[in-house]
Amino acid sequence: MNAPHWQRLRRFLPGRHWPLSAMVVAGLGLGVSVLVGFAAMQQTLGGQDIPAHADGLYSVQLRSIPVESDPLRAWRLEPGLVDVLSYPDVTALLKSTIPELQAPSVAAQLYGGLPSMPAMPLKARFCTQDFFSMFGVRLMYGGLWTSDQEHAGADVVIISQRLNQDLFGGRNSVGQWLEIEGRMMRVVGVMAPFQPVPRYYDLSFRFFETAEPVMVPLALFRTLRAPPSEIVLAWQPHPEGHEALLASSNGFMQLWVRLPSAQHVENYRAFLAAFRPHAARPEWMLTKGGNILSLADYLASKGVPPRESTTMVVLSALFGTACAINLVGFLLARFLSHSKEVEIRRALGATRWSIFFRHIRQCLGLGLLGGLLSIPMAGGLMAACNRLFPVLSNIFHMTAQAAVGAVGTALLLSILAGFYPSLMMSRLRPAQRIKLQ
Amino acid sequence: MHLLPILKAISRRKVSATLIGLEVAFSVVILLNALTMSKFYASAALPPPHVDWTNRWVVTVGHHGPARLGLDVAARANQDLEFLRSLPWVHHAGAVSVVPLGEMRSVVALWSAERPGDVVTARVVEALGDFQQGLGMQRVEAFPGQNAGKEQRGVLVSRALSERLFPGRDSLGQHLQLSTSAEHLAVAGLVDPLEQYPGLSHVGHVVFRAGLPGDLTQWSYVLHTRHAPLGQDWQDLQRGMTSLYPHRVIREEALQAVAHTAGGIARGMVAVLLLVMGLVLLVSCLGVVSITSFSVAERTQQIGIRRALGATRGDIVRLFLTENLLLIIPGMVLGSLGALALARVQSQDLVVEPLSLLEWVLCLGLVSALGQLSALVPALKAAQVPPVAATRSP
Amino acid sequence: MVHMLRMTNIRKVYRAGMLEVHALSGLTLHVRQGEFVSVMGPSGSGKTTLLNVAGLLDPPDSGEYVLGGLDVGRLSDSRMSRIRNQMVGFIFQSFNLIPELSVFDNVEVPLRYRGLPARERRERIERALESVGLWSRLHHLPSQLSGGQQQRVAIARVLAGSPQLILADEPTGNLDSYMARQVMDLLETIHGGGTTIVMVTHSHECAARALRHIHLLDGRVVDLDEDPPPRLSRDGGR
Repeated sequence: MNAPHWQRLRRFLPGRHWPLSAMVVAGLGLGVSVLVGFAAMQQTLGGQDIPAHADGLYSVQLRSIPVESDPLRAWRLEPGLVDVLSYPDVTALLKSTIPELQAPSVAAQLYGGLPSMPAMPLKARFCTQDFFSMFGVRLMYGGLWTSDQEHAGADVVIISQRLNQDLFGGRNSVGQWLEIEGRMMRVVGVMAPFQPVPRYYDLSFRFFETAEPVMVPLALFRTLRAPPSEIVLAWQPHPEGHEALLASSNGFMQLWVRLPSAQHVENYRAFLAAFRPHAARPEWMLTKGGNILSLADYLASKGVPPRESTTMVVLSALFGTACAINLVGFLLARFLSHSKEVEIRRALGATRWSIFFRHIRQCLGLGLLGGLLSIPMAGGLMAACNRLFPVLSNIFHMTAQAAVGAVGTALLLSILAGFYPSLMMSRLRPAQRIKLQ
Repeated sequence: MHLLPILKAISRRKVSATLIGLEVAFSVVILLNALTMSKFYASAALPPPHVDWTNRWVVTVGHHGPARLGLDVAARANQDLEFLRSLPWVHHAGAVSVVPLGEMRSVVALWSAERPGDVVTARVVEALGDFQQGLGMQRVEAFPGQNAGKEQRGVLVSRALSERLFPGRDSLGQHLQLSTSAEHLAVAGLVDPLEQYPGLSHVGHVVFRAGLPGDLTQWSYVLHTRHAPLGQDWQDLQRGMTSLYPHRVIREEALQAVAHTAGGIARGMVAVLLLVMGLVLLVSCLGVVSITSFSVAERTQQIGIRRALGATRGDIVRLFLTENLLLIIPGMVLGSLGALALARVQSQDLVVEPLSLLEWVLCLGLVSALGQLSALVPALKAAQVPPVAATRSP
Repeated sequence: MVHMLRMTNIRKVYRAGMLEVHALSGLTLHVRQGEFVSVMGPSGSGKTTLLNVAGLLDPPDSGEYVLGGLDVGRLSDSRMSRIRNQMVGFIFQSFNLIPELSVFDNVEVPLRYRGLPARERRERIERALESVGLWSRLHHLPSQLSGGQQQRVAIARVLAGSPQLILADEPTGNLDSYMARQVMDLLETIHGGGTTIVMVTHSHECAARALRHIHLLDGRVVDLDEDPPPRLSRDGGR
């Protein structure tokens, strides 16, 4: 007679010794939650969320200092390569026709807001049209500025969804005016939420800050004489005045290019190898050439994911192993505590395989429970990390992928840990005592 | 203690011995490693030493609008400083291009005049006025004069930088060159500046230079006040500064708060590491409790026999505790070796100060104590097994 | 001291859930020093309980028990353990050697609890094992010995401590007749040295070796031989 299905489920469930089983499940859940939690956070910090169109993107870097003199050479992927470029160098590089798209940009700290209101700090990014398509920035209202506007450096802005919310209550603000640094500027577009983690288009300084709320045409950089707010690599005496900065070899700009095919990549590399950077610097600092880094290499060169995260992943792997070892002990204890029952079963004719699978099934049941328990635990861990690192502005959260990974890991661990105990149980001779020898 | 027979007995119970041993080993590796990293981050999380934080404030001004393009930074700063010093509650006031705490964006290459190829990167802080008192820096030797606006040829360097550029020598009067300056600058003094622990950011050295650069649009005033300013005091300050120059955004903050924010990541890491250490200890203790409990349950009859042969309750407890200790010790040895290996691998990427011998011993001592405490619970239960259990069939 | 064992009106009740079992109901038994007593009776009559109480393994619920001149009714657990260690020796039906210890270590256990120095312990162990003929198996594990050998090791464990009272529960129950005879010979020899022995047994053959016979029924002694037959001389024939 078939037992009712809920009774058959009992095969998977713990049993009489529920405190011990509870400890097994809790221990497994803890181990898996720490393992999966830190692994998921490592993925987030490492830019796994970067969208697919990032393929074909390359960061342009020039050899700005001789290798031996590069004090940061231990951290760089290729010593001497620097990703912050000077204005004359970027201007020269833009002349190349090889890339499909090119996106020079620089960020600056400006002040402004609604014309009637007192000025507030506004981080701005000066860029070109190509930036938007290269980095997948979509607009929810309006559109990009025109090429004419771009060349002329017209007073137009594209604002972020967040700024639009703050200033205009979230409605379609195309055509509205903002006063920035004393200039009246017209809103031509509002961006849909754009929050890559990390901000891979500019990792010169802060990795996890929110994207700039204001985007303006690059030509305005000169007009507004905006002070670059990100890192400035100063290779020559600090120039007085904005024009001097734009003529100097001090680096403060980013340049990304899109190279759609391997041939393009090869051609551009050759172009860079022959490139001579702007030469106003001490004699012994003169170098030639440059290279492009793919997005993956760029992230690696910037230390993404950060070392701290990798440390935690290593520790959590060790922790997971310790929990797995614990699990073997727990399972042995649990199984052997009802070894009498097994001996009787064997005496009644059960085969070794059936005993083995019976116990593996129990392990799977415990693994499933442990995996399910680990999901809220991992979520709790991520919430704790969000709390502990406010600078990351809450980037960690539990995803479906992580949840599935948690359950899968728990099941795998429970089978691995349960293999030896189950084998031991299957080896019990009918009605024989075995001690935990 | 009955060590020898216990050891022989353990060697025959290989499975449980291996399990406990391995578990302790892994736990010890994690603990020692996490402790080392915690030390590292803790030193970066703490506010820098040699700084007097009381009544130190930072007032950051950001200039905007078209007028800023024609801003005479030096004149502006001097006027502001004059105003600030006129406030009755301000004791000292100085100006800095940036407060040297935490990550600083502007990196400059510098080298000693005699060895130009040996380049060191540093962060430069341009300063004016009584910035040392404003920043609470307590140890300064032979600082340059405080004449604002005058072209100064001297710089203050941190002790660490001095040692790096001029090892083993007195650096006062020695010349160095910044990549942002065409001329040689003389070392005019040594400071213990507000440096973070050098390992945390790539660049650990700071150079103080007199005179704010002409194209700054944002800088900070550092104030040493006579008492904690009241709301009214801040309002007076805001009003006064805005009247001096209207197109500016003014923000005030305690210096200690700035340091606190700068140590944010380090503090977070310490907390996370402590959390993991706590979890490891918890899991290990639970493991010891469960494996020992099972050992007790398995050997109930044996306990009865021993009691029948004359063992007291104390003897039984001591038996299990001794066994436990003998099982833990090889785990700790193995774990220590593992921790050393892991540290060696990690040191290729990051130079971290290893644990002192005392800290090592204390950590292992803590693990043993906790392990014994965990085993105590099942051991006490074992002691309750009555002698008559000897006659019961297993 | 005339009596080794003076139990008066001993009661012992076991509770298992709702069930109450009166293992001993008002049992009175006096055993003189140097006696060899056999205890027989149907199963459930309380024989094992009698030995447990006699050997201080299980305290009685009521009644008076004087062992070796000492009223053990109100002793602390540690005192009782010491008395068990020094005065009493146990021989169990299932030998009850500690499986993970070697023969030497097994015999040594009670001596260690007595706190004897290592040299004296070694001497006693060697003497005891020699007297049971198992000195050659010093380092073997119990699992490597036959049933009869294990029982002899158990006897050696008893001998090493030179107790005044030996309590044996079915000492030959798990042995074949040849080994059973060997064990009984040993017991007789020990008795010859002046040790008091109380032995529970099913076998009439073994019981015959004793000099006084007691029957238990429903937790009480019946057929008590108040005046035991005169003892045979030490080297009397059998």
